[in-house]
Amino acid sequence: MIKTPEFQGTHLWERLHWAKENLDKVQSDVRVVYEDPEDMENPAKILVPDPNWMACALQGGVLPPVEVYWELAKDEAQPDFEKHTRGYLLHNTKPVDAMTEDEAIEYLIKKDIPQHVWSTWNEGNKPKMVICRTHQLPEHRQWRNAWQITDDIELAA
Amino acid sequence: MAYGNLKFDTLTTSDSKNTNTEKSLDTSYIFNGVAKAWIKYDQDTPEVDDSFNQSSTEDTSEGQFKPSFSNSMANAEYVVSIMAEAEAGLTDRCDYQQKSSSTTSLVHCITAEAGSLRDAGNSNTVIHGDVA
Repeated sequence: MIKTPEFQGTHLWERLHWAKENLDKVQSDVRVVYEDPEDMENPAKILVPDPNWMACALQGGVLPPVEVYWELAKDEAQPDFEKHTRGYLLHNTKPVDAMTEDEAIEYLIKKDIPQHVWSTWNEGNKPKMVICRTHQLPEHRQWRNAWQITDDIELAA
Repeated sequence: MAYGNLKFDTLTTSDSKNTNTEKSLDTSYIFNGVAKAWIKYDQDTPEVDDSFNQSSTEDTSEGQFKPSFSNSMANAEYVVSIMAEAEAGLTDRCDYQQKSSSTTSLVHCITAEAGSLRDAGNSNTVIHGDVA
């Protein structure tokens, strides 16, 4: 396995270039299905991990901690937000070590799915979020706009 | 063998084959002008075929998807180009719309001529703008 250069302080965008050149894509079979209580008009959404991002996550030393994205999200939520002024958090914070696929999916959930979904995923009458494999999704996309997490879903221990 | 780094701020050409007049280009123009993210996405599967600067893509509903960036954009004023490959049997015109954007993600939708949302097997998205 190729060694990741010391990337703390290197612009994240440059690190992604390095990863694109040096790492093979990792196509994950995992999908995260979730329903957003604040968007019940729409069907269940499916998070698809990016293969180049997954390669970075498994390699280690490339991606910033997920908490950095939360800090930037706080800035963007301000009413007078125009542009990010703390982008350095992405580049200067110590990158995270190599993750397993499970850890990478957990990171991705915390980065790209709304916090009000993943922080209360198992509260209520049924789970709001389910991690599954591609073969567990419906076989065809007919009636895609009616997809929901089933009420009687059985969760793995 | 790996090559070293070449650091420079200005690129100058003699332009001897054309005008023979020296021309210079600030290399920041190159950085500012290149695509900051791109993605080739198959919504039928759904699966990302290839990409740059993406962490995930969300299959939001039929004909609608949401790519998220690894390196956030500096602001939400970036430019999005999108085109989907034509598919056999679907020869009518499609509209490509950007429904919303933030510094971390954007939502696209592909609408068929009759007005209904439509999945696309090969949709190509390119982002130009400033990264955070």
